[in-house]
Amino acid sequence: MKLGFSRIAMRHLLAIVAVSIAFSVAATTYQVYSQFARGREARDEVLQTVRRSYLRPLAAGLFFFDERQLELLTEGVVLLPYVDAVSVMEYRGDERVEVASDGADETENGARHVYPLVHEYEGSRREIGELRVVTSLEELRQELAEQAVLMAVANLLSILGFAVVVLIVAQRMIFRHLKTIAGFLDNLDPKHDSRRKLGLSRAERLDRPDELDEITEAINAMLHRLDNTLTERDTLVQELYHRTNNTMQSVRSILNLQSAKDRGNERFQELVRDVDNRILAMAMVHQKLYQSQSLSRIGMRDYLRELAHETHRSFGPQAERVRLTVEVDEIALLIDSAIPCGIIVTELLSNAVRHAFPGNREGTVDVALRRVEPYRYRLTVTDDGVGMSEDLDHLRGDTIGLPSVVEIAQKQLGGEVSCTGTDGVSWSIVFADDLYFERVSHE
Amino acid sequence: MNGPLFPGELEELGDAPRRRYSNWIGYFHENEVQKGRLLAEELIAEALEHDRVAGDGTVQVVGIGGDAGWFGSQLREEGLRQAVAAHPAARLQQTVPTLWISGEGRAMTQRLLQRYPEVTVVWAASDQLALGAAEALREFGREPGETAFVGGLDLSRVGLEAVKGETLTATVGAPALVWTEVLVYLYDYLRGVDFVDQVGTEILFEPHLADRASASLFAELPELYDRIEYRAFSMYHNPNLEQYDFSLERYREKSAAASGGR
Repeated sequence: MKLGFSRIAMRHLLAIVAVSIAFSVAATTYQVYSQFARGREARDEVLQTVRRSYLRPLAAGLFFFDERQLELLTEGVVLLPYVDAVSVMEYRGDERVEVASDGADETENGARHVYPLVHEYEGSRREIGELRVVTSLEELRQELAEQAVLMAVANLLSILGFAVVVLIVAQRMIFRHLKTIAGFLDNLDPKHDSRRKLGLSRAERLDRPDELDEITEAINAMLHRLDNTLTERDTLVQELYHRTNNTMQSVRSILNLQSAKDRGNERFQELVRDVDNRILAMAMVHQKLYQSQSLSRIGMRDYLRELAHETHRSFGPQAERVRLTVEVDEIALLIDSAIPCGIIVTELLSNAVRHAFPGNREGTVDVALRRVEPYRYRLTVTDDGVGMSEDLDHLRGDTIGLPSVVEIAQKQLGGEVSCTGTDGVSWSIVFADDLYFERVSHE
Repeated sequence: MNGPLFPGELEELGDAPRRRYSNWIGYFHENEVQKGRLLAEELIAEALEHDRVAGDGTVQVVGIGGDAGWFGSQLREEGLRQAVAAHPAARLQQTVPTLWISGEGRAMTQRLLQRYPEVTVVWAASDQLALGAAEALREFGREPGETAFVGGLDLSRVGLEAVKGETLTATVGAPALVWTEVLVYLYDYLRGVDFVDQVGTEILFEPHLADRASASLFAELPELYDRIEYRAFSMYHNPNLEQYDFSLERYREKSAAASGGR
């Protein structure tokens, strides 16, 4: 089983280990201190035993010079716990003469205890010597040090074992679900996964929902609300595009009605057509937007094809001599790039129909949008007409004019504009789609 | 049965002969208390005579006792205590038990002298112990009979020689002649003459003190013992005797007669 512990799980483990070690150290220290204190009490009890049980027979042995008895008793005392050495001193005037001893020779480190040896004889108490006992807790200290090391190792192992068990349990019960939740939220695309619901694979079944259930329920409720909000937003945006399109169509109708009143005025008719085509370019963008799934990108193939043909048709019989081809790659551009593209195509196509084929000359206008690199495109409008005259009259044009095309291409698309015009005219605008960002996010 | 017996032992046997055990016809022992007392009195008197007193004006006494497992040892020490208690100028510092070994007399005296440097009287429960004590006194620069006084119990040959040589001040005990008395009582009993009417079933032998003056006399007693005519003391053989007589004078008389008759 691959556990794949999360960072929070590892921090959890470290916290458990650190706190457990701190508690273990404190507990071990207290335990060692308590045992040492008990050792001191035990040593005091031993000394009390010496006072209670050994002083009288030792005094008697010393009084009666019973060396065998003194030897046995000192042997007995030195066998008691914590006793390192013992000696019986006899008072001889001002001198103290050792008459019996047992135990370690080197007793500098121990605690020294001296007890007078008093024997009652013929009704009088005779202080005839003293018992010297040297006790040491060094052995206990060493024993406790060894015990402390063993306890520390055992505690550490048990802590680690406990921590690992806790970690595994926490990992299975909590952290893996948190990771699942994080992964779910990270990969969530509200546009496409609006119906998706968070579900945790939990082995344990509880009678009452716990915190994880509550989190899951809260996230799913939030997703549901988000889905509703997005749907509402999309509806509103589409409605906006639809109404904008309708408004523009209304403007076009008004323009066309006005132009119908003055059909003899060709210049006015051309001017109205140019304006109408430009509004068409913009209106069609909004139409495409509210018809599409996306609220910010437009499929350029349908858009340019319909726009070019609509513009072509707007010239009526004049356009019948001119054949139109539209070649567009499968490209979706932001509205900010699509509208300039549409206006440019409308403008260049109108210029070509109007000027490239004078008299009864027939020809072809090719409109194309190609992807030259990822996120880099080339828009071309090419005709096989008469080409551009040197005075570049048609550049100036009767309508808004080609200079505005160059300006739109450069300023609104950030494109590089080139034009060749010897045998026919060929416009080329290379631009990237990185000048704008999506106002309506679907990510 | 030779004594003395501990009171508990005596009680187990029925307190006295011929009660619980009919074949136990008599219980004889020496007067151990008297032995200890006599020796102590003599030693204290000698010390006082030589003015060997301690700084507090008392004669300081120590005792080298015998084996505490024998009741006689305790009785001997009791005699010592009685003598000291009866004498206002004497003070018993301590007694120590021994196993009757001569070397112990010396060793114990050494230790006692280290503990009580002003001691001038060493009472010993046997002549062997007393001789060891005398050695120790000399080692500590004391001269037995002059600056310190030591005596023993037993009235033994070596003890008597030491008294004569002034190493020991005295030796106290019952002479070996008392065994003559026991043998005669036993003999007569077996012959149908019961001693109980005259001496009872408990026969207590009184001790004799041998000092410098009398030591030679007691030293001669063993020779006398070899020449004893036992029949002369027997009531079975002497139906005209009114009572048993085992005095030293009678021993001497009867032994001289036996010697002359030879």
